[in-house]
Amino acid sequence: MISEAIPSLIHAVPMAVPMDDTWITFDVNSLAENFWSSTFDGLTFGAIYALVALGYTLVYGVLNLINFAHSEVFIVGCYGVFFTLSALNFGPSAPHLPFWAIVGNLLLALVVAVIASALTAVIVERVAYKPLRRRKAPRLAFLITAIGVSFAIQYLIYWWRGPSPEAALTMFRPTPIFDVFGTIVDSQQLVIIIAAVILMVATDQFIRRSKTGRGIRAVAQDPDTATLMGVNKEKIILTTFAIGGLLAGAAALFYVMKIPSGVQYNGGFILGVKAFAAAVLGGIGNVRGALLGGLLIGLIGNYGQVLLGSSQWTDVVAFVVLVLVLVVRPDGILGTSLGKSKA
Amino acid sequence: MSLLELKNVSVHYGRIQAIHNMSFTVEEGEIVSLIGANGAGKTTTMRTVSGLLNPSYGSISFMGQDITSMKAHIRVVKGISQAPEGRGIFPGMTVMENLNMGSYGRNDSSGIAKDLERVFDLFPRLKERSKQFGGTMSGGEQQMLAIGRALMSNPKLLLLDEPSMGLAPQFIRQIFKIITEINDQGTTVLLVEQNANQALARSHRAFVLETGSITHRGTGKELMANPAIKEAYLGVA
Repeated sequence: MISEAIPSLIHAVPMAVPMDDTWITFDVNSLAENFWSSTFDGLTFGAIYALVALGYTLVYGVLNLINFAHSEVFIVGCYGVFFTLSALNFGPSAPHLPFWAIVGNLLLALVVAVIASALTAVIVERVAYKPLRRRKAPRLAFLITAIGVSFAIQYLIYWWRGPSPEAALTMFRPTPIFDVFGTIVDSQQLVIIIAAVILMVATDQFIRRSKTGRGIRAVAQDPDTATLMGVNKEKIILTTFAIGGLLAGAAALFYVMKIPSGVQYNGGFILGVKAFAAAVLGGIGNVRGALLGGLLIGLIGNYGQVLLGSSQWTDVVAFVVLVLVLVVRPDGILGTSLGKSKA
Repeated sequence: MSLLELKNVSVHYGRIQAIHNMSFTVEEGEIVSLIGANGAGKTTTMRTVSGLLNPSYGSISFMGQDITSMKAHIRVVKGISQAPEGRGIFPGMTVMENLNMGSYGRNDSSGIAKDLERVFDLFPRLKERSKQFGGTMSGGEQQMLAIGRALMSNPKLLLLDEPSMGLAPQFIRQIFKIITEINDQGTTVLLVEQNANQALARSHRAFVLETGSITHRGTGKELMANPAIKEAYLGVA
């Protein structure tokens, strides 16, 4: 899926001249030549991973649960974007609309995606996880439920929309904005990176400074004591799912913007796995870790792809690096949990 | 009307019964102690009063209102505040953030500011350390923080679960002195302790718990004079 994403980049890469018959060719020249373009593109993808990773990490923080259904929370957001923009007559080629009309339409798609994803996350928590909590189910029951919910939503979409991808959607034609070290940064990259950074900083500050954020951290560190402070644990859990869903919905808009080739029922899976990997890489349960992990997974994948000459290597390289980092730092780069590790 | 009244309360963990048919009252203005050995059911009783555990039988009322099935976080707003066993400091939060957690259920900023002042008066150390992370403080300081934080909800009934646990003797005396001071300021205190000497000396009334039942009850002085209790809990033959 990612491979379809960056055709321009692939074509820009001069095909590595094989030195011999070895299977893997490292093309260091290509990486040197394309360093800045792969950096900007990697940051763009990384920002999307980071937003989705926040959802994994926040829910893990309060429930110690890997919410595998989060990839479907994300894909529901993608469908939200698709249906909104289709209804607004967006199609495979960029629409001829004035600037502000495009901004307005994208904002509307953003709102729909955010609501759709947040609602999905909240429903999943209420229907699937809360009954288990009330019965004090063991952790494996939660894990299997999470995987089950993920499949259930995927095939619900399959049943509704069929196996083939939806029509492609182009939101706007990327235009060059400025030049860094001879590399063009385009409007699309800029929009995604800036918007994602705003959301990340807002989330980080919300968790750190707001009263609800303090409640989320308290439940993450010690749920019983949090309750003794007057924190409504169930409300905090629901809020946490909603925030994760909201961020996944925003990520969905940026993802469809970046990868115009049709949304598909199982389209959340790979991205979900990579976002989860990003959360683990940074330190699961740690908000800043998820942000760092997302950006790193995006960058490393892109560098690896250029270095090895094919986009098929993107995920391989990203996951090899993940494994190597975990061998050295099993708790991830920044360590686990919303403050638990500071004991 | 008693401030707190437990009537025939039984508590189970799964199929194991931890509290058997327990009844007692706490009157407004008192310090009441529950003393007993490990596993006697002291902490279970506290968690049942604060609402973390639900009784399988019996009823609990607070200021005349039945709170048996009231959720724990609402009991805090009603005026029951607990400094839990093991102190329950949020390690990744600063002292100030921990104190702010204590007033989580309140919206009256002037009242919160007044209570913060009261806490800093009782525990000047907390003011000095307000920016330090809770997890990096000594046991005694954490206990001060746990009590101070519990006061931040401006409780009518303060539940203290083993405030002397793991503390050096001079800290224990200081903590008990402060508990008396808090009580003099008008807060009713229900105290769980293994340190029976200090607890009985400071309490208006006390109950002795053995394997989930109350076996003795009386004023602090009466229980201190009781030979059986002297031998079992006060380390005097």
